[in-house]
Amino acid sequence: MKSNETKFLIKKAQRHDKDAFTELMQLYMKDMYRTAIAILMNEEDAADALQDTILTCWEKLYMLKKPEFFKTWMTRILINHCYDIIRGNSVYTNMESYEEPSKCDEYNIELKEAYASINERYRLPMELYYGQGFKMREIAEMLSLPLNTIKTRVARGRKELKEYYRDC
Amino acid sequence: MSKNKNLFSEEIELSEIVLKKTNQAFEMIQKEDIDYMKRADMESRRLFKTRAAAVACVCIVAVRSVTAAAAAIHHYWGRGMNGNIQASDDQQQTLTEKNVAKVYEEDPDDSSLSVTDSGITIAPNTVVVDERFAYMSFKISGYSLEDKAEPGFERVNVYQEDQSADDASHINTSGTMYDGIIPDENGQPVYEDGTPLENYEDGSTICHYTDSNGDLEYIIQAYVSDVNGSMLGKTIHVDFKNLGTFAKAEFTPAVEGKWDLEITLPDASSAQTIEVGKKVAGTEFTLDNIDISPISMKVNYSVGEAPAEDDDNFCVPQVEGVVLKDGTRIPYLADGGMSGYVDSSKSKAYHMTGYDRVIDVDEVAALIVLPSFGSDRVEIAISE
Repeated sequence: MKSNETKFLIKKAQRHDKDAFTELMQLYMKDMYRTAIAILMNEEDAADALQDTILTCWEKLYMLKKPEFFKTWMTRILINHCYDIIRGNSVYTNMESYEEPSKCDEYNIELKEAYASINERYRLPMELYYGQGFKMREIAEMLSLPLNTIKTRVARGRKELKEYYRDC
Repeated sequence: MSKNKNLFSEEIELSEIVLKKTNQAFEMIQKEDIDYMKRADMESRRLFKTRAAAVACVCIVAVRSVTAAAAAIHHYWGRGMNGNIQASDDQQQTLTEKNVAKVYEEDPDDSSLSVTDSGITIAPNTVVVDERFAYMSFKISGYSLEDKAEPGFERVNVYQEDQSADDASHINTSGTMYDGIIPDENGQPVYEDGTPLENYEDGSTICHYTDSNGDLEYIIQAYVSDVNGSMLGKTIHVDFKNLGTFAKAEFTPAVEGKWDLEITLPDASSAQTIEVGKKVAGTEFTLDNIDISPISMKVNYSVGEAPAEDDDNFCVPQVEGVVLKDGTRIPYLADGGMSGYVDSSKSKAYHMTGYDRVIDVDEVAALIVLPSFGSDRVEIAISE
């Protein structure tokens, strides 16, 4: 979809057009999913994060003044929700309550196995850079990390991924 | 990295649980629409559901806490009104003295305008108005808001004293409970003192709904639906129903009640017309003149050949901000409004917009205009 059409959907959604909002979010659904999986690594948590992100975007879209920043804005919301879930899980999870991944985690196995081979600190910058097409500077701002840290993490993640494929 | 690139561009399949949860979210949003459609008295009124209006509102305003430094000001706009449209102390003072703004709690005679039901009192606080736009705030006392809760009304109905059944009596409205969050000069949300937003441990944004007395404020932006209509001197009815909280678009009532208020807006005009006569680069539009006030503007265009329209957009150039004579840019000034053609000939068009902050009209040197979606913004000088 052309960026102009996306901007138009954003404008309509800001005017409280629910269908336009739904169409807009559907456009980014797989990107959101990949980002959530890169952080959470399981389907149920990713589903919760996507649901929360959709509702938050709907509630707060009026605050977005520059449509061209929609994806950055939405991704930042998603990342925050993912971190919320991790924080919540760390409070409520212990070894006794640990469960094997549910059957819904059978989806996108190759992606998850490849992600699992990368240090968790490198996964998200890698996904945002290679998968989503964000610039290093944008990722640095999004994650509140120095630009050089992002460059380093992407480079190290790339190295780990190469080793994973070499060993496959 | 070829394999890596394949990984990142690999087609993925959304699982059942992801589809289920995301569809639930969309259904919740659509469900709000069902409630929204349950409007029994739309013939002569504009009704909006609070939550819907808050989301549709492209605004949110600036608030500056009333501090000791403001003690010299005679006219204090309410906290929420500063959140509805940002104004300096001097601007508040000037506009109130010119009867463009009215602070209700300053006038003892206006105490009769407040309404109490079920222990909750709602009173008009501040109103700022011009020909096209009215910004209103209402103080809500007697409600104890729980931590992290988002307050709101089940319904808020805003309508103009009915003159007739024609459209001229209708107004467009949006409103929300003021949460202490305003846009900064870059259009990004910050707290009213300019500090960055903070989150609770669970990641949700910390909002400041209550003032130091524990009172809430409800803020409304209203504007004429007939571009030739006027808000000046009009009597506006604002009916609130059931106070409670929102969580993920679901309303939970806490206090059942009805608070029907009626206020008469100030009638002093603050607008002036400035002739421009300049073409909007890259379009068939010529900016003939602007009707501009400290709180809104209407830009009038002549149109050569009207561009093709889409479903919801007339493709009329949009004013987004202004440049002041001292070089200060306010790129995200525009806040709410509408645009269209004057008649079916499409030879004349307009764009009408409110602001997120008060401006000094005499200091405006140029308009920042978006000629069409996706194009670069242009500046059009309006003064020598």
